[in-house]
Amino acid sequence: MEALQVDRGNEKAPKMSGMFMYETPYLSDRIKALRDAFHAAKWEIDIDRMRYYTEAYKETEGQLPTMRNAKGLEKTLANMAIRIDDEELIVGAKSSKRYSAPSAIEVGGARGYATLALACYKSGKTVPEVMPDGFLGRSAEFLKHIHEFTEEEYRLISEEIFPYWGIKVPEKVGAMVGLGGIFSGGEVPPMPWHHISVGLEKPLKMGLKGIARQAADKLKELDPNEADYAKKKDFLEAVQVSCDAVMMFAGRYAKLAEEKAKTAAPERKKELLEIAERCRRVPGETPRTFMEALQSIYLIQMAVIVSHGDVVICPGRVDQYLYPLYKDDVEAGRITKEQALEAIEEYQIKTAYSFNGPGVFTIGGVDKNGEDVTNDISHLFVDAHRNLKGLCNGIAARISEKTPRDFLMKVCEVNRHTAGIAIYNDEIQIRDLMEGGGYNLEDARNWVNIGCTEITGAANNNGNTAVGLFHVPCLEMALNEGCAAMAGWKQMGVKTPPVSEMKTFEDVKKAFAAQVSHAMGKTVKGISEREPKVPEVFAQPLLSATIEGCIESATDMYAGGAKYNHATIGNQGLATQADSLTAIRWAVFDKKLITLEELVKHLRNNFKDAEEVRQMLLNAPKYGNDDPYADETALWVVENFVNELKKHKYWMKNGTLRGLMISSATHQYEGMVVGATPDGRLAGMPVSNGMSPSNAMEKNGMTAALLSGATTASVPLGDGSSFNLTFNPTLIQKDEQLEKFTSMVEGYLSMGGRQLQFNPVSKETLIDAQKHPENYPELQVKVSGYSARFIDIHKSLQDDIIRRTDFANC
Amino acid sequence: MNSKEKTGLIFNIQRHSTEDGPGIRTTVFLKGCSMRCPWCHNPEAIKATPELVWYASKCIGARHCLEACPQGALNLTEEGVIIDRSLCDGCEKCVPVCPAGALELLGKRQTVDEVAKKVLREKVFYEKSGGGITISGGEPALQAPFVMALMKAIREADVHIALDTCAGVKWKMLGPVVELADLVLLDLKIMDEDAHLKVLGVPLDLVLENAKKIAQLKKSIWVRTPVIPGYTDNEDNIRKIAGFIKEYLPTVERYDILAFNNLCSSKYERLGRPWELETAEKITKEKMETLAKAAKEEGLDFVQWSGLTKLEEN
Repeated sequence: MEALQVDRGNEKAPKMSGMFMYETPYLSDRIKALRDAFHAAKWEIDIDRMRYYTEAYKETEGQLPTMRNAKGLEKTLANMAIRIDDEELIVGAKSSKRYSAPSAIEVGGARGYATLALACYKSGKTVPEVMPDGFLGRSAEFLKHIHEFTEEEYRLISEEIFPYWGIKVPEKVGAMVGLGGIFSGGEVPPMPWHHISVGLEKPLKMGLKGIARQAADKLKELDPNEADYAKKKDFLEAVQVSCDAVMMFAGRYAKLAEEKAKTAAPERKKELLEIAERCRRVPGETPRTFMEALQSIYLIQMAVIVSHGDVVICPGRVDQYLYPLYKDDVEAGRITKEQALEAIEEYQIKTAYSFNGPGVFTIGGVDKNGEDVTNDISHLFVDAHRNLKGLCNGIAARISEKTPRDFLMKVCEVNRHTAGIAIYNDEIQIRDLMEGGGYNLEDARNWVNIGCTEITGAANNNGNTAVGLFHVPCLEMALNEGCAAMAGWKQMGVKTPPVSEMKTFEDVKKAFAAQVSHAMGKTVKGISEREPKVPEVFAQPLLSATIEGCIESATDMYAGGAKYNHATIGNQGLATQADSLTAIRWAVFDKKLITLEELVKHLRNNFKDAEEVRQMLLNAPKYGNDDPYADETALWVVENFVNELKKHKYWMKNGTLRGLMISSATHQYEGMVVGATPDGRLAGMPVSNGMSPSNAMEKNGMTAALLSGATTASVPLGDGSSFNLTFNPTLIQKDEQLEKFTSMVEGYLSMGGRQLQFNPVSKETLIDAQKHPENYPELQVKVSGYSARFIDIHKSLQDDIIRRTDFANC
Repeated sequence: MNSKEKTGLIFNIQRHSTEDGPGIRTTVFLKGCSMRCPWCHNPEAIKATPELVWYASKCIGARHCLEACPQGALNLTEEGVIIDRSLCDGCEKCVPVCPAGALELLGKRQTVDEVAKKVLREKVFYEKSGGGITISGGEPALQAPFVMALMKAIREADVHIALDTCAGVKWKMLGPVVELADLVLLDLKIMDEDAHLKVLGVPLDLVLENAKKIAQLKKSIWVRTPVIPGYTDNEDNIRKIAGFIKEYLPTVERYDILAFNNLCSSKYERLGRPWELETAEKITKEKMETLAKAAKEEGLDFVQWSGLTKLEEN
C-alpha cells in the first residue's frame, strides 16, 4: 500500500521542536476544517437507534435480551443513513445526525431528552425559552436545537416509538417541571449507567471474523444439558450476529466511498478508494497498516455505542495496541510521523462527538512486566490533543517512576494551551487495583481509565457503576441523632447519641462512622437489588465479545461473564468532611471556643445572625495546607470509608466493592441537599470536589496543597480519585517555569499522590475573578518575575494579565 | 542558649517560591533592612520591628479588636480600621480576637527549630527540582547569629541554601553568613556613588567591596538589578553593573534584569505609607531588550530579563 498522501495545507507548519512535533500548536487545513465542523455542530436527538431498536424489539418479543440487542444493532447499522465528509479519511458515525447520542430506549435511556425535545416541538418553543438553566447538567444553549425534528421524525417518535414503550409526552412544556414530569413514562427498567473499557486490542489481533469464530467454536463446545444452555447459546449467537452487523456496516462505507470516487477529483478519488479498501478489510480482518487500525477501532467504538447507547466507553491503552502497526508502517516507509499525527488528530476529533463525557485515552505507564512502555504514539496523542486544544477529549497519562521526564514535562506543557490531560500515579493505581479491586499483578499493571477518573483493568471487567454515597449528610446525621436536612430533619440514618453526650472528639468520629456504616449498608443493598435485574432486560453481546472472560464463559458482561467484576461506591467532599471534623476538634474540644450544642444550633439556623461564629470556623485549620492537624483527619475519613467498604460483598461472582473519590458536578448536588457544615460552609453550597481541598481554603501554595493531597496515599481505594489544581497558564510560560512545575508534579507523585488534574483558567475566569474576588481567593497567577494571588493585585495589573491570557478552555 | 532556640524576626515563610534561585524553594523573609530603596517590593521588610496590618476584604466589623487593644491604637472609621502606628507596640492582642482573621502582625519571633521544621516539609520538592531554601529579607545579615544557626540546621538536612542580600552591611556581619551559603543572590542597583548613597542610604563602595569578597570566597553568585523608572533604568547604569561583574565577579553565573511593577502597592496601603512609585509607568519591552543587549555587549553571556512590561494599548 502506498504512503498516505496528506496535504499539509497552506499555512506553513511551525518548526519542529525537541519536545513536540511542532513548536506551537499547528493544524493542517484539512484538520482545521474537521475541527471547525465539530465546533459548529449542533446537538440533536438521535432517532436511528430509537427507531430500529423499537422495530427489532417488536419483532423479537419473547426472546432473550442478548439476541434482541444484536438484532437491534443489525437493523440500525443496516438502515441508518451514512455519509462521508469531504475532508475525512477515517469514516463512520453512530447516528445519521452529525452530533447526537444514541440512547438505549429499551432501558429508559432516550426518554428524558427526547421527551423534552418532543414537548418543545409540540409547543413551538426552544429549550432556552422553557428551561433557561438547561436540563440535567446541560446548558440551555447546548440544547437549543433538540426540537428541530422533521414532520416525519416527529410522527415516528410520537406515533410508533414512544407508544410502544408507554412513554407519554406532556401536552404543555410548562407541565414538565422537575424530573418527575420527564420520567413519567411508566415503569422504567433499570438503566446501566456505565463507564466501560471496550477491548480494541482483541479485534486488532483477530478481526471481528476471528471473534465470531471464537464464539462459534465455543458454542460447539457447549453441552446442551449444561446449566443456562439456552442463555449461553443465545449470547454466543448474538455475538456472531453483532460481529457480522459491524462488518456489513463497514461494507456500506466501502460502497459509499467507491460511489463517491466515481465523480471525485483525482486527488480525492485516490483517498476515497483507499477508504474503500480499508473498509473492505477492517474491522472484519486484522489491519495491515496504522490507518487500517485506526479505522477498525473507530468503527468498532461507534458500533458499541450504537449497541449500548452513548455511555462512557473508553478505548483504553491506544498507544500500546496502535504502536506495533505504526512502527511497521514507519519502518516500511508507508507513513511519516507527521501523517500519523494528522490521522490521530482526525481520530480525536471524531471521538469528541460524544455526549456523556468523551472517551478517555490512556497513555504511558508500565507493561505487565513492569517496564516503561511510553512510545511515539503516547507522544503523538499528546501532540494531537495540544494541536486541537483539547476539544474536551480526556487523556489519562500514566506516570511511573520509570516514565521519561520529557514525557511528563510534555504532559505538563499542554496546560499552556488547554486542559484535559490528567496525571495518574502508576504505582499507586496498580497497588489500588490489586488491594482494593482483587486484580492480579499483570492485569493491574495493564490498567486503563474508563472515563472521569475511574480505573479498571483493560477490557477484562464489567466496568463501573459508581454509586455515590453522600458522606456529608452522614456527618450532618451524626450531629443530629440520625436526622438530616434532606429528610426535612426527620430521622434518616441510624440513631446516634445527642451532641450533649459527646464529650470527646472521638465520640463525634464514632457517631459519624456509625452513620457512614448505616448508609453503606443501604447503598450496597440497593446495588444488590437493582443490578441483578439488568441482565433480564439488557445485554451487550458486541461489547462483551471484546471483554476477556465473556466468550470464554458464554456469558454477557452484565450477567457476570467478565474476568473481574466490581461495583464502585463514590465518596466526595473529602475536604468538607475533614475540615468539618477538624473545626469541631479545634473549636469545641481543643480551643473550647464554642460548645458542640451551640455549634449545631448555628448549623441548623444556617449561621443566621452568627457570622462571627462562621468566620471563626472558616479560620480553623484546613486540609490542603500541609497542616498535619487537619490532614490526619482527612486520612481518617478515607480509612473509615475503605474499612466500611471491606465489610460488604458485591453480588457478582468473585466481585469486589471499590472506593472512588471524585466529583463531576455531583458535589453541587450533594451540597444542595445538606445544611450548613462545621467548616463554615453555608447550606446549599457545593461540598468540596473529590479529594481536592475546599475552594479558597488552600492558602500555603500548590506544593502545600499537594503534600496534603498525598497524605491519604497509604489507603488503597480500589478505584480512582481526583485532585484538582487551579492555576493560570502564566505560571508555566517560560521553559524554566515548566521545569519547576514538572518537578513539583514529580515530588507529589513520589509522595504517593494518586492523581492530579489541572485547571488552567481561562481569560473568562479571570474576568469573573475580577468581578467576584470573593469566589477566587486561591487563584494564582504569575506576573513574570513574581507570582501572586490574582485577587490581591491591582486592577490595572489584573487587566494586563487578562490581556495576556489567550487560552482555549472547554 | 542552644543554637536551635535562637530566634529571628520573620515576616513570611513563602513556600513554592520559584523566582528566588534554582528549582522550587522556600523563601524565609527576615524583617529589617539596611537600605531604603524607594521602590522596595517588600515594604514590610524595612523596619526591624513587628508591624500590624488590617485586611479590608476580611473585616466583618466585629469590633473585638478595638476593645482588645491596650494602647487604644485602633479606630473603626468609615474607611475601616485605622491603626495609629505611634501607639501600636505590636503586642498582638488584637489578632486572635478577630473571628475573621482580618488583622495580622507582620514580624514574629521564630526559633531556628520552628523555621527549619517548616522549611524541610518541602524537601521532596527541593530534591526533585534542584531547589532549596532562600534566606531573604530585608537584609538577612542584620540577623546574622540567627541566620547562621538556621543555615547550619538546614545544612544538616543536606538542603541547598541561597542567600539573598543587598550587601549593604559590614563584611564582619555579612561574611560569616555568606560562608554558609551555596549561592548568593546579590542585588546591584545603582552605580553612581552619589546617587547610591542618597537614594539607598548606603555607600556604593561598601556594596562593591562586599561583592568582590563574595566572589573571592568562590561562592556562586546570581546578580539581580531591578529596573526602576528614574532610578536604575538608564543604559549607562546597566553597562556599569555588567562591566563590574565582568571585571571583578568571576563566580557570577547569571545576571537578571527585572522589570519594575507596582504589584506591591496594596502592601504600602496596608502599612499606611505613601509610595512614590504607585503610579509609575511600567518599563517597555523594547527598553528591557535594549538593557539586556547592553549588558551582553559588556561581555556577559548569561543575561536574562523578566518581569511585567508595558503593553501596547489595544
